[in-house]
Amino acid sequence: MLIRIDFQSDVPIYLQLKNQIVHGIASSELQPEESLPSVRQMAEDIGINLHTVNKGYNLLKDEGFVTIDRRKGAVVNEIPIKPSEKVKETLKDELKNIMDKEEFINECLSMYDEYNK
Amino acid sequence: MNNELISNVMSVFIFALLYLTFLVTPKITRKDLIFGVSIPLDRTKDEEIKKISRSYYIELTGITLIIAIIYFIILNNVLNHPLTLVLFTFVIIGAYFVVFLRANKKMKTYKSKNNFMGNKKQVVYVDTNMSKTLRKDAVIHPVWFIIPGIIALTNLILPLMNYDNLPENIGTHWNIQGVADRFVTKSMGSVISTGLIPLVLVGILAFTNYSIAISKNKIDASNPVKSSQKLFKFKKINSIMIYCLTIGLTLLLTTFNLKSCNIISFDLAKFSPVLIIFFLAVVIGPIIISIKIGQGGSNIKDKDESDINSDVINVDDDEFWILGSFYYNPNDPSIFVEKRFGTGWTMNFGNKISIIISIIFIIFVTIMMLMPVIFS
Repeated sequence: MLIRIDFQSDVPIYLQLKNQIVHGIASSELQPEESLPSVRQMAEDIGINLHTVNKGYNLLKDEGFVTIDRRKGAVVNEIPIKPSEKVKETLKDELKNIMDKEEFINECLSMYDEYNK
Repeated sequence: MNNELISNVMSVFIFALLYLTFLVTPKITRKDLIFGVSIPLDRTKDEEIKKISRSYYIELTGITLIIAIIYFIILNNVLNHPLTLVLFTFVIIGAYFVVFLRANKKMKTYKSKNNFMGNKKQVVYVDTNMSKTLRKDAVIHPVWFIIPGIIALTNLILPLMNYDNLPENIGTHWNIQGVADRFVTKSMGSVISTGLIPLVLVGILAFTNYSIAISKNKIDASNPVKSSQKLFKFKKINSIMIYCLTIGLTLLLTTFNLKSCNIISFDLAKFSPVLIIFFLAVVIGPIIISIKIGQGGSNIKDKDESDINSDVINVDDDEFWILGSFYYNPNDPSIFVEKRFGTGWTMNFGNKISIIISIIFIIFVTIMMLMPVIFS
């Protein structure tokens, strides 16, 4: 994918880098298992300090978007993380017991409206 | 041919070559860098910039003529010595640098008067796939340098195996007619040191190939996808040129070395045309190829130019370029970066590793130049 860094933006570069990669994962431009350029390569090509790139990559790691592999560098994670059979069963039970479909959708809609005023 | 004629012809050739190189340099530089100053692509055809270019060409021509006249007077009336040419080559390069600096200064003044970076976004693009490809697949794999390495090694092994049969004086330097004109006395030290030179040369060229691989990937913001493909071609072609040079140079050096050690024998006079062709190919070939592809592949033609985005420009990094030519940016971890004016690479002197590499290189060159002196 093409990562774009705007040098005059108010958003710090490490955050721009992180946001761009998250966006790439969300839009499938970056595939799971794909390895990102190394910290050094990224810093050289953008022309910025290694620490800046490191900061962005660490944020991605902390939020579970990438795994830092000692050989391959930063590797994109499978997102969302595949739920196990047990989780699926529990979720099925809970949805059956607690609320019906209409109630569930209404709840979602009210949450959506609340945050999207 | 007598010696005077040869030195005059050689001088005209070298002067013409230097002049032509500097004449075409503005044309092979990246499109948005004019005389070492970054300018938005849509302003590069401004009348003022055309005027600055014109005076660059005029000054370049004028200074060449003046220095050439002085040189040929000195060469033919005062001192006909190879060192005169070396000295004047430096004088010419120095004068050309001054001509460049004048154009650079005019460009800076013009840029500071007009705020044309103001309404454009300065961005950098990184292609996550190409970032790796450009560092690995774009250049010839280092393993291939084993071949010239083995050829170079024969310069060391064969003379040592035949040490008793070697002549008392071994040629180390040959003129354009293929006749040895500098010798070293036979000794273990001299045989080993002359035998090592081709090997060191292969090492330096292999490192040059590696430096192309790790050099900063500069992608044009106005068209990042195509630009990275062009950069790939640029790196690949340069790598191939380095490799061909390595093979050619080691073969040539080895032939001469083994000949002066009496290990192989052939008629040197017949070898002269090969030498001249090799010399012309090494000098003129890269110039023509560089004009064709341009710095970072910027002269490679697009089939359609529809996808150029003129709202964004490359980041204005003028402040890091001292005298428009020397890159000093301690924040940038890159070691090798594209030159600003012309084609090829330079170093980021804000990086400690660059300084170390430069010092090692200077030491190597000094040792190689001193070796024949020590053993002669």
